[in-house]
Amino acid sequence: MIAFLMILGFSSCRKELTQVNSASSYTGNNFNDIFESFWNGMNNSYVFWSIDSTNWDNVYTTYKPLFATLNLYDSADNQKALSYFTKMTAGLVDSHYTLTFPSLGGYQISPAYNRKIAIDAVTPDSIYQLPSAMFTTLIPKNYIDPASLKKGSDTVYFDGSASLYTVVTGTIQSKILYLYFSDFAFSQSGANTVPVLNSFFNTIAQLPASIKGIVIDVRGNGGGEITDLDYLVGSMITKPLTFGYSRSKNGNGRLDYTPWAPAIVTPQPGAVNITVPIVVLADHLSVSMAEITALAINTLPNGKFIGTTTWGANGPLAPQVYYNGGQFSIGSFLSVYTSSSMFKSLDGKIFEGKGIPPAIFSAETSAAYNSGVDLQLNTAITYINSH
Amino acid sequence: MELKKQRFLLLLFIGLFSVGARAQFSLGLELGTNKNQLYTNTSNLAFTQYKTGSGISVGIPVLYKIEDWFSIQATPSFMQKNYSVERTGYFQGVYQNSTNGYIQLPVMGQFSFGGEQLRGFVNLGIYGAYWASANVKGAQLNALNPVDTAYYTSPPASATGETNLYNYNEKYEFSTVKDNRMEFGWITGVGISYETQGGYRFYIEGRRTSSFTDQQKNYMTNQVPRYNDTYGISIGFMIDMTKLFGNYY
Repeated sequence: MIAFLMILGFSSCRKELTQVNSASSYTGNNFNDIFESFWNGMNNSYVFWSIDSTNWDNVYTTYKPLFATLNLYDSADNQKALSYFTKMTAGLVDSHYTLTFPSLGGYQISPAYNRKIAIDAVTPDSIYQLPSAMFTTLIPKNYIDPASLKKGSDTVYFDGSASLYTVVTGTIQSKILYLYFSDFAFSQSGANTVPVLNSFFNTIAQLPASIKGIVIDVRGNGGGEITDLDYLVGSMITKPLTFGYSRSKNGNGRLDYTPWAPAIVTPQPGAVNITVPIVVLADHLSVSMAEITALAINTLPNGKFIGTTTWGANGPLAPQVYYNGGQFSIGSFLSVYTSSSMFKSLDGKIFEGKGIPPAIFSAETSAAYNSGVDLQLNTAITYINSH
Repeated sequence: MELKKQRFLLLLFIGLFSVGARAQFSLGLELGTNKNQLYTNTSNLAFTQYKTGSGISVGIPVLYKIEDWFSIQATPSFMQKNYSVERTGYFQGVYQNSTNGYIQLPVMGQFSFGGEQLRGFVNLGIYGAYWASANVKGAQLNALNPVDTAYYTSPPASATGETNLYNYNEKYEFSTVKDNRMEFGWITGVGISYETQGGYRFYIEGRRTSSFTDQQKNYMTNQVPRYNDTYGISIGFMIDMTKLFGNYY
């Protein structure tokens, strides 16, 4: 009897194991349900809690009662909800982070974008976004040797959305091999872009002695497929390149993480060891794979990242089920786009939300562009010519 | 006031001495093996299951027999409380084995029954433990080491056909924010012992150890607790120090 009472007494000291539901299991039929789903989905699946300064517990206590008063069928309340979502997520460090509200006309909230549009206040003379004509007209016309120029465009798709994908290659001053591509979408290359890419990779495979350097231009590149990193950088190395580490969630707790796994570029079949300088041009609109590529190339002994600090969205993305973390949806009301892993560099620095700084800083100006000059490409050419 | 205190200490000393005069004090060694299970809830995690882990324990039992049927036992020990988590289905091959070492001090009341030499006993008590070490061994999908699927002619059969695995075996870095390294719980055991004429006692015991403290500090809202539940079997021996050295210890 005493034993029974002791066991009963001690067992009752345990906290109750609460039901944990997948965020996507909520119906999203009312704002109370939507808030619970969103908050818990973030609580369990957001991968950056170890570095994010947002007080998520405070978010719960502050916004739960506010959402409880909202009516999903009231348009004014929907606007209030959007303002609450904007405030709740304003400080999140994940720079991929985007909330999309399909039932509210596809309205989107991107905390990183909201932070980036203030860049002109920091560097007033910068161009916020390099015009596409920079890559399709200015550089081909003013820099690339006419006989070597190859360029083309195809339509590619990311998450169901069509995007114009442009590739440009050729030589500069007959001694620098140049490649620009607008997205990491090599596997989707079509009739117009495959020949351009083939030209670049065939030149790499048998690099003429006259080529003294290579420029990979990922400015304004929004990222894309991870395998392209292997295909691009892996064609220029003959030994695996470790350039950082990634980790993901392995439990429901905010700080439940896997160990850090090495981020590796694998040499491709037939790859050659490129020893001439490889410059990667990137800027503050180089996102995700474009940033990762800039860092990977900068890790090479002959690699150099020239440009401005990148966007700051370094965490790889995959569907929730792969890493038990990252993106999720709540009925047809809301989809949460967020990284499933976090990334750190070889020296342990996490650039999420901050961006990867260039090895050599070089910024564009409107005045230079308007006079037909690409200041960043000029810096790359000067760098290669000095080596 | 000072006189009262002196009288109290005198009475306490006489009381303890009189109990000690008929008590037996035994000391020994025990070895055991166990199965540990992490009691938690991960029902929202797809293709993920926690499994029990096997471990060992070693302890130094100290037994103080007060009556023929009742003793107090403490067994300072080192005990492993291991478990694993595995992905299933398309994610087969992803796993992590956690090996956790605890320095543990159970204090139990032992109720015994039976004959002079062969006796049965039941242990009931509580324990405090310190999570001293942890190691993780496993394989995880390595997001930034993809398999090049460009040349595939059929879809991958599993996630490892898309992303290479990262195999690891490393010391777990405790988090001062998350990990609660002090554990308390209750302990029950049942066993049989055989005592020789010379004061040597051999025993085998089945024991259940269950924590009532969360393996995590209370660091987040809607936290899902994690408790260790350990089922073990131990063999050991004890020497009656009273018979060996008399009452001079």
